[in-house]
Amino acid sequence: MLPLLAILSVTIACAVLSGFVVARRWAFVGEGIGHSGFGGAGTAWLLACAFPLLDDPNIPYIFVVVFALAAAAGIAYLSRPGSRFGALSGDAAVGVFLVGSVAWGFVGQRVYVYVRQVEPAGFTSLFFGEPAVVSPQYAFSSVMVAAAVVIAVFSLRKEMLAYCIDPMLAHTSGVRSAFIHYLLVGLIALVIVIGVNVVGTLLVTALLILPGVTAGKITTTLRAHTAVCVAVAIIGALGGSLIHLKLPFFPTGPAVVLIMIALFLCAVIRARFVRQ
Amino acid sequence: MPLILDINDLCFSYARQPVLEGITLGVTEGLTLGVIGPNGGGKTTLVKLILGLLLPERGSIQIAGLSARDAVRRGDLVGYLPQQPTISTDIPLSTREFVRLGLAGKTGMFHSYSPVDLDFVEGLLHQLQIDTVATMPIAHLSGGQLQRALIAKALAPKPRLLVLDEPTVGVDRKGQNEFLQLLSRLKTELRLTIVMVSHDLGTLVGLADRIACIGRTIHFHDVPQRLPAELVTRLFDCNLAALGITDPCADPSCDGKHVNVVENP
Repeated sequence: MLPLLAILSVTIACAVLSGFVVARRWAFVGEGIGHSGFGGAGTAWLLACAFPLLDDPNIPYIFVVVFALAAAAGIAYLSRPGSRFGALSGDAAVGVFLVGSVAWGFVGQRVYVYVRQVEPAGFTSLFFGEPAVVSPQYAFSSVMVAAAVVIAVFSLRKEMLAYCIDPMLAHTSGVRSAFIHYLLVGLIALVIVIGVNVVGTLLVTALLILPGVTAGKITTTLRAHTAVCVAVAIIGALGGSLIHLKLPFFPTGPAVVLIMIALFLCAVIRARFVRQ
Repeated sequence: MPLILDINDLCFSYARQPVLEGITLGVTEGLTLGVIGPNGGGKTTLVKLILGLLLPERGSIQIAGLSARDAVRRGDLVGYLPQQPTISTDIPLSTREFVRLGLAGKTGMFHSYSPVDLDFVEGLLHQLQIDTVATMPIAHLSGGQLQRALIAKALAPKPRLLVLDEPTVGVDRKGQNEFLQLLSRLKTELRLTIVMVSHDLGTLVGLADRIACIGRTIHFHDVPQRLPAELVTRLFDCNLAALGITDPCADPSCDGKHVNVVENP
């Protein structure tokens, strides 16, 4: 029950942000934040080599959270329209954090293997998640984060929509566009750090993209778009959990993502059929 | 009549390259100022400064007594129609929902749109003849309908100053005329002050009460009828007749003294 609660919380929180991520072309931002977590894990593994007390499977997750949030702040600053570092904005800013973190994380992993002669604990689950071992505290945190994301999105919906449709027009109509920019990137970072345990750093971005692109293919109203995003999230979470329950060798995270991709393909086919 | 836009000794540079120097001009409430100038003359930079997107290096911009940034943040003082909007259509907003987003700043965070403002938006949709496509997603609108939706969005919070940056670029002559007629009607009905930037002098002359010619500095700021032919030739490499405008100095009674030309230092 706890893993299902955590997966549902993460997927629904990602789904309500999905439309904004797709509209702002921020898929790569999510990827950058997610992969930055690997740099955090690498730091934890390096520290564990020097300080054996830190060689605990839970410690890397703390570093993942810190690195992901720090990367989110850096990416948000560099990618903000009008940033002083305009030349490094957007994809380039994300790319710097992404490759830097992956390189650093890989160095940490290799040094750990060299010193300890074993893989660091939780190395695979960092990439693909391991919802089966979700603790009650983690499940509770996931529900709280998801609730906070949903409340923030519905409280500031018009500002977020205005910003994502066109940041400059949002600014000129009086919206605090810088605040909304940082808030959105912050919320994305939050769902990524809770999503890492469920689907891993490699797949968490899928939860932020697939509901939005699927809904975009088959809906023509805002209300329907939101409803389809959430429906895709729920079907993916329930379907992925069910597959793992029936076929334990099939990991939950990839199952959730594959179901969402199947739904996206159905939406593409339906959109094409309707157009014809 | 009071000045709604008061620009005083405005200077701005990009990477130490001066773009605007010593710009001083005021716009009286209810008038239309046309801003012309050659490409790279600083027109769009001036718009960005008026909208608070850039901060002046020296000098000041006041809109209804507030700094540009504060005036824009109020949400109900300044409306803006961009040159080429980069609107994302990935979220299926209807035309009505899109126009209502123009109220977001005025309404404020954590508040719902007021019924009075929503009624005004409905009136705008009708006035701009886009009420028939109010429920249609903005992605399905034609270019003309989208432009009308953008005007409605800019006017939704009942701004006192409307800023337009090259609004007729890429629009054919018939579309330009329709747009100018619409703008003229809205100006009267909503008692708007308009600042319209264009490199197309012919478009501006019929609408503007005053013309400001900007090419790093102000070269001219007066009524369009006093625009000197020599300045147009120098800045645009064409003559007034080619633009369909009568040269006031071709009149034998013209002594040229009325022409208010500020030469580039």
